[in-house]
Amino acid sequence: MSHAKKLFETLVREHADMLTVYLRSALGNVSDVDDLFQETMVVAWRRLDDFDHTRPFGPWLRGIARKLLQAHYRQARARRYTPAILDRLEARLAQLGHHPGDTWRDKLEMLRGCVQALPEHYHAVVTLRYFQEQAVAQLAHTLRLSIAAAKKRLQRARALVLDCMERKLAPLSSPVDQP
Amino acid sequence: MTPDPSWKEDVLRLAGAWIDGHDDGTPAAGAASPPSEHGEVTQRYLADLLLVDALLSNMSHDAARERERRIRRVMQALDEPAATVPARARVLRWAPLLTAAAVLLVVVLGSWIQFARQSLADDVLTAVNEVSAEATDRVYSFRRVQAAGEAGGEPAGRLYLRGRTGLVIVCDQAVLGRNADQFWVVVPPQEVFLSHDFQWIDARATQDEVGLRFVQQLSLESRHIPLMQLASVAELMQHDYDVTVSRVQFGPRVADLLQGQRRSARADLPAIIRLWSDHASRIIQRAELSWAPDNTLVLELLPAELVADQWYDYPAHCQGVPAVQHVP
Repeated sequence: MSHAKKLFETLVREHADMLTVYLRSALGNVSDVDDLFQETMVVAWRRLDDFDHTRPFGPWLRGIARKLLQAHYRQARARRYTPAILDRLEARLAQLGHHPGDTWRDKLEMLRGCVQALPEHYHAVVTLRYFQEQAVAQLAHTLRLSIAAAKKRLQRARALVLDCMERKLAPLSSPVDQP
Repeated sequence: MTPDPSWKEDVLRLAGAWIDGHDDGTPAAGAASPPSEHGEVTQRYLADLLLVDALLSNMSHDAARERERRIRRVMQALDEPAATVPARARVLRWAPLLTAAAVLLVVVLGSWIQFARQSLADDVLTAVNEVSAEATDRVYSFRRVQAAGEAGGEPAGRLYLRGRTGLVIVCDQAVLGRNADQFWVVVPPQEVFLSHDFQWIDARATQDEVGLRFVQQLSLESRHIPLMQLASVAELMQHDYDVTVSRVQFGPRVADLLQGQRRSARADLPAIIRLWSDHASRIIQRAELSWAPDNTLVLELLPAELVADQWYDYPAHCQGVPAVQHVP
């Protein structure tokens, strides 16, 4: 592998989680994330000479991804997200990028704290859904809830995590307007 | 955020339907009204909820394996001048040119048998993957074969597996395990290391010579351990290996023998993987992970045994109150 590719692999590795989160947020169909991820990185590699090295790599990468997402929305029969949604995702990820922490994992420590701080019944549903990767029907069975009740609990849990995340991100000079 | 329960409830329901309604890859019927119909404030809140879902998904342990798989795909794509964009995207972009594909019909027909065999192998692997991911306990003996052609050797240890994330390896020196999103090592008399990342556990344990003793006693290498989760192996084969399948007799059973040859040059992955899966149940009966002719890890299914519900949590392997260290 050439030196340039090794350096690029370092960049890919550093931004892989951020790009995955962006694409997953912006795609209704999770199975499309893999393809868009690869396509974004390959385009970034081909256009690396265009990248302004004095600026952060993450927003540039998301810019490429956004164009590919819009092409994907046109080509595939996918749910189309509005520019307002994509703008918001971009702003939130930029905000996370400014959050203290050397790595993506460090930056997400506050999110772990938010999950830990959830009331027990919300913590349980988040753990089953996201850390044990149970489908809604399965976790509903585990918690002896109806599927509708399990979905409701998940919705509330995500809203609580969002509220907590906003509180922790708020001290920064945020580029994100409150909704 | 201004409290306004009415619109928030609506957005929560919509986001919930979008997120939780497509476990199978399809949107929930009637739930996917176009986002442009919603006001900008609600769209922002909707975006935030979608982001929270993606962030939480990214915190699962499997996310790390998925990340590595995506990175491998990218780096492989960069090494293939013709394959600069994923196949799906190329098909969509160059759809009009597909009419020219008729010219290639003879080539396609010539490749058909090979394709059909790979497709069959993929189907079998998918079934094996699904069965391996079920939250059922399976116990395997394992040993490392370090001489070409060596068949025997005493099992080095016992491996307990439950679904995709439950793993326990027991030896005299320590117990290593994983449950859901965290790995742990219990070191006698009462010391426990916890981490969400196996590499941290490995590095820390090796630093303290615990891991070194552990892998030496079991005749394992650190790179062997994550691959002992057989559900991960089946999935890995689907993405990173050229796989063939053949029907074989395995003791009294009829089995499918899946043989995978690694496509990439990554030495941390086995060069060859062989899985014998029972044809009826799809349960893996035997696995051979071979890095080199003198470095093969062999796992063999043992008779089912009753395993405690909490077996995959470290407290089940401690006596008293342990000193727990969280490794970052």
